Amino acid sequence: MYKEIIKPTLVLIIISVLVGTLLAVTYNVAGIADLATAGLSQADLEELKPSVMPAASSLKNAKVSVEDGSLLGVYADEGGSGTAIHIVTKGYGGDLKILVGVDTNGAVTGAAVTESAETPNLGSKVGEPAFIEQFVGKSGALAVDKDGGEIAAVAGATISSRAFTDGINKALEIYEQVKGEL
Amino acid sequence: MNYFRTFTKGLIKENPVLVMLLGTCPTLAVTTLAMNGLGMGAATTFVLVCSNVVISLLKNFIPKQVRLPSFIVIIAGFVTFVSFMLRSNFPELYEALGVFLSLITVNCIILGRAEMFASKNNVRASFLDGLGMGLGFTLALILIGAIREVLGSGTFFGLSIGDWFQPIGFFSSPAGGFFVFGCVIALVNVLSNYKMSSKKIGCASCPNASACGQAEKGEIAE
Amino acid sequence: MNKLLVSPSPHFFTKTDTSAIMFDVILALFPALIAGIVFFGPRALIVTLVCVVSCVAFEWLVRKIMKRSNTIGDYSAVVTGVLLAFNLPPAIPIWMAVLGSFFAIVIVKQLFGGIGQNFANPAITARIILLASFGTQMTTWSKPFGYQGGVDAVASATPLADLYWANPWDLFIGNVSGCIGEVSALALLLGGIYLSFRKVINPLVPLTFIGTVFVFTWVLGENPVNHILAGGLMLGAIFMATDYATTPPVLGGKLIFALGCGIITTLIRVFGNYPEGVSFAILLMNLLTPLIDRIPMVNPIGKRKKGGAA
Repeated sequence: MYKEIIKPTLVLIIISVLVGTLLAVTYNVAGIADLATAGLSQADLEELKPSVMPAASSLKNAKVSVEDGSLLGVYADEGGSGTAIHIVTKGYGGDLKILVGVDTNGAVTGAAVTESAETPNLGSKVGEPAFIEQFVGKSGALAVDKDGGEIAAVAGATISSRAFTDGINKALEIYEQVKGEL
Repeated sequence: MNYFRTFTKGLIKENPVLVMLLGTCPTLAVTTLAMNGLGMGAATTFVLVCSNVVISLLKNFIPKQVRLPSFIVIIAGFVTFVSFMLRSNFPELYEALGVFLSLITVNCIILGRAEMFASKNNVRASFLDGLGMGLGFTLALILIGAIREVLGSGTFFGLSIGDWFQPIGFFSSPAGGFFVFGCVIALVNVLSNYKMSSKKIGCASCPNASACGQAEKGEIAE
Repeated sequence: MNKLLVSPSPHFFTKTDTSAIMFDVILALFPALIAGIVFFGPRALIVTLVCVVSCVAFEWLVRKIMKRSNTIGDYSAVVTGVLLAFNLPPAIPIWMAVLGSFFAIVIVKQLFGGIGQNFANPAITARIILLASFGTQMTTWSKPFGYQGGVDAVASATPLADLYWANPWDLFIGNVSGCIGEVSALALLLGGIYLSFRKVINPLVPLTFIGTVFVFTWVLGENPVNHILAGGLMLGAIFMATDYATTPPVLGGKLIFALGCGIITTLIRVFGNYPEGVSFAILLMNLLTPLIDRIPMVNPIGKRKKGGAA
């Protein structure tokens, strides 16, 4: 009885508790909890700023009350020129994350893809300036040309173009909801 | 026991990826860049060496009924530790490896070495075995990663090889991964002068034969 | 003749061999080549010649290196070269055409054992590898007759991008942008009729493929006439879905193959991310061919009928 059931059980429990305790200690020492909620780092924001909001002086994380599955974070410009909204949308290859700059009038100032799994050389082209420039200065509900809109989709990548456009629309929508809080 | 051979067998002769064909999932998934291959290989080697040593130390303490759950708990512990370390110190590599970092836990190489080697050998041999196997895994990943990165992205460890080269996107895609993987296996077979003779077919020719212990019982196909 | 001659089967002899069939295919491809040269100028001929020469050269070289008997005399490498060139835009850089020939002959055909052993159509697979690798160059189309104005490579949308309102007559004769050999439905049909007449291909296969696309695009509310005239459908249905090595050998299997090609083509064209789906459809069905072959469709001689005597 002891050798067959109790001893193996005890050994497994001891090992599991030991491993769990050591991991809990590491978790706290390495400060993993703080990393989980940080979102885009200040260095990332500096790098993205020229393409997202060239007029901004410095983007800082802003806390807002809006709860939305596709909203990753809101970053307000300290100089007051606008707000950058980090959004996730469903692309062709998986999640497509976009940081969208919106000025105080609710128009797009620029955008940048922060993470994408789109087909290289096809869908990935939505991250290139030639495509993104079409959105600058626009507001309201946008659509790609195949859906009767004004945005020329990347050749051979309608789904990625559509996903990007949806992301921009969502960001503009969220901006309208949060602008009172900023 | 020949400690030198224990170490070197994992590099080519019993290379876990290219000869035993274990751990192919991370091999194919993360090797779009040589750096990812190096990172994945280093993380796996660390886990492999640590788990081999700990399991070898505990081999008389762990009853055989709970052998596999205990091994997996120990391996998962080290994997989680590695992912914490990468996340706080190398966030870019952590992002690039993604889910495959956690999946080191179920990498057949690690549980395989724990079950076949570390639980039957002393600490020193287990350490060398883990290190050799881990390095063999890392070398294979760097090789595949380098080929795919040079051809698919036109860079080598992130350094551009020049504007004259037009990257062939196919090699960055999963299909290109399979293709390069197959070519590298063929190359290793040529290098190790592997010939299919009737004597070699069967359990005795399996790279795992020495650790498996069943080889003598296996029938040799004629 | 006072003796009865007894010999083992087969008792019929014909002159039909691989090179004769391949020669017929090359002849059948000529109208489309001429159409390509008329619409896209000398560049189309250069790309085709480069593909043919490099395919034959690679075939010769690989067989030499692998120490196998040489097979360039059966013209199959010539056919692969022409078909590959027909699937490329006229303005493609020459070195990409050579690279495509390398993939087609060395990787897809010879590494798997050469003619008759390859599981996928070499030209189609090479085209897909090039498309996945060089999206920009593979989708930069030249305007028909653009070469006469001195402008050789103008980016211009393929009719597939805006199919509904395209002019069916232009699509039929080939006065549109596209790959070298795919633009003229008329020229391809001439080749197809010749091959059917010579019994090299079974006309039911391309008819099923094209018919499936017609029906499904019509059901989905697209313009079915333009769908069957545009893109690589005619080229794929007549010359690639009828390849001997990579499609099922028996008629039932061939029709399942063609039906599958038609359905996948329609799905990719209407819902997919790429404008054209013919090459993907044929490759996918190539991969399914071993499974289709397992469906029993030919009754062996002497098979017992259910409940009947032997």
